[in-house]
Amino acid sequence: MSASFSYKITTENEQFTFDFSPIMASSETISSATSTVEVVSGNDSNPTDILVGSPVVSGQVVAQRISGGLDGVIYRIEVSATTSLTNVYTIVADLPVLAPINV
Amino acid sequence: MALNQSAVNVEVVNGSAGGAVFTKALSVVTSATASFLRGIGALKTITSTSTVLITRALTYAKTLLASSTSVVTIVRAFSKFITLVNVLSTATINIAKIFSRILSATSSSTVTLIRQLGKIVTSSIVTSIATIARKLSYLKTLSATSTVTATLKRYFGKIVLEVEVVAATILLATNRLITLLAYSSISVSITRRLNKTLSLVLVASTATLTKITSFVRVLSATVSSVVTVTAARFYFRTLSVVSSVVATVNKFFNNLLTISVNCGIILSRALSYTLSVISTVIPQLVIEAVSFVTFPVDRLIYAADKIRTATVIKFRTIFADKDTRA
Repeated sequence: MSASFSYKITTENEQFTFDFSPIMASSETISSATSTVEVVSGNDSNPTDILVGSPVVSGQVVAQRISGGLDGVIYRIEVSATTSLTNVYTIVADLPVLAPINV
Repeated sequence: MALNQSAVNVEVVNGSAGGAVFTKALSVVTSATASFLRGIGALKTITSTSTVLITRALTYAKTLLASSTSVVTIVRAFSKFITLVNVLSTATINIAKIFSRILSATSSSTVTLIRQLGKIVTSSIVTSIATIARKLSYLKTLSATSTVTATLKRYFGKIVLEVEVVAATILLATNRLITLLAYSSISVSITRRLNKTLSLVLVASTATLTKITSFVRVLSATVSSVVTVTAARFYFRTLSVVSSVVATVNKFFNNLLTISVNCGIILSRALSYTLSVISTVIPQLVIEAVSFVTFPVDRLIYAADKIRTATVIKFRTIFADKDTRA
């Protein structure tokens, strides 16, 4: 079961945050992170086009900028973080994309 | 037995019986010649009487031997025989008495004893009696014709000797008879014991038969009881089966009735509850409808605007938890 962001308008370019702190130790830090995108519903042959740049690590939080997207498509964003204790955590979140006329 | 035998033999050896007759005969013979004829007449009378008696005894003994089948009969006959011949001598009477006692004591001997007794009497007593009869007959003839004292004395001596021999023969036969009776007494004892044993066996057999009869009766009663019990069990089982079926049917009907009653009660309660709920809800619905109609619309518009504003807020942060972790 995945969590869900609020819908995004196709014209928006925003930074989405993935907070790993609830499952990490206080002394544990994120050493690296990766992001991937899949289509949950709708049609988009290049879903990874919505990712802008690489994820940015800040403490126990990873930030990923997202833009574009097709109207009516729900994307599933997966962010994996490798910690200083060699743990690898992943957060999955769905992102509905709507055209401004459909909002 | 040996004592009796010894006593008899001593008596015989002494020849008291024969001696008495001999002395008497000598006394008669050595008396005066004048009284010879009178004495001879008396002797003739005695001899004649004795001869008749002995002849009768002999006849009776033969008849007895031919027809006797039991010792009791022999004893009785021998007692009668003794009565007939008691004129012969005291020794003979004593012997006869002893013989009679022995026979009486052993009156329950076997058939073998009877046969042996018959043989002995036949071979000894009868023969001896016949000898005596012959000698006495000879004496009778001699007494009637003799005229010489010396000759008479000599013949009397021979007669006495013959009498003694005959008596010895009788005693010998008697001794044999005593010995035989001694054995036969053992046989009698055995027979008595056997009879006693047989009696015990008979008693035991009777008791056993009684027990067997009782056992058979008990067995019959038991068999009858078993049959009765079996029949009763079968009847009871039949009744049990029938009663169980009836009970099952009754129970089924009871259960059916109970279920029906319970269903009726439940339905009644449910219907009552439904009616109660309906009767409660309908007024409430009426009240709510009336309230909705009278609800201030401006408040509803304000709340809807707040909800719309809230949906405009975008959540751009996802917190890692069990739900967000892949």
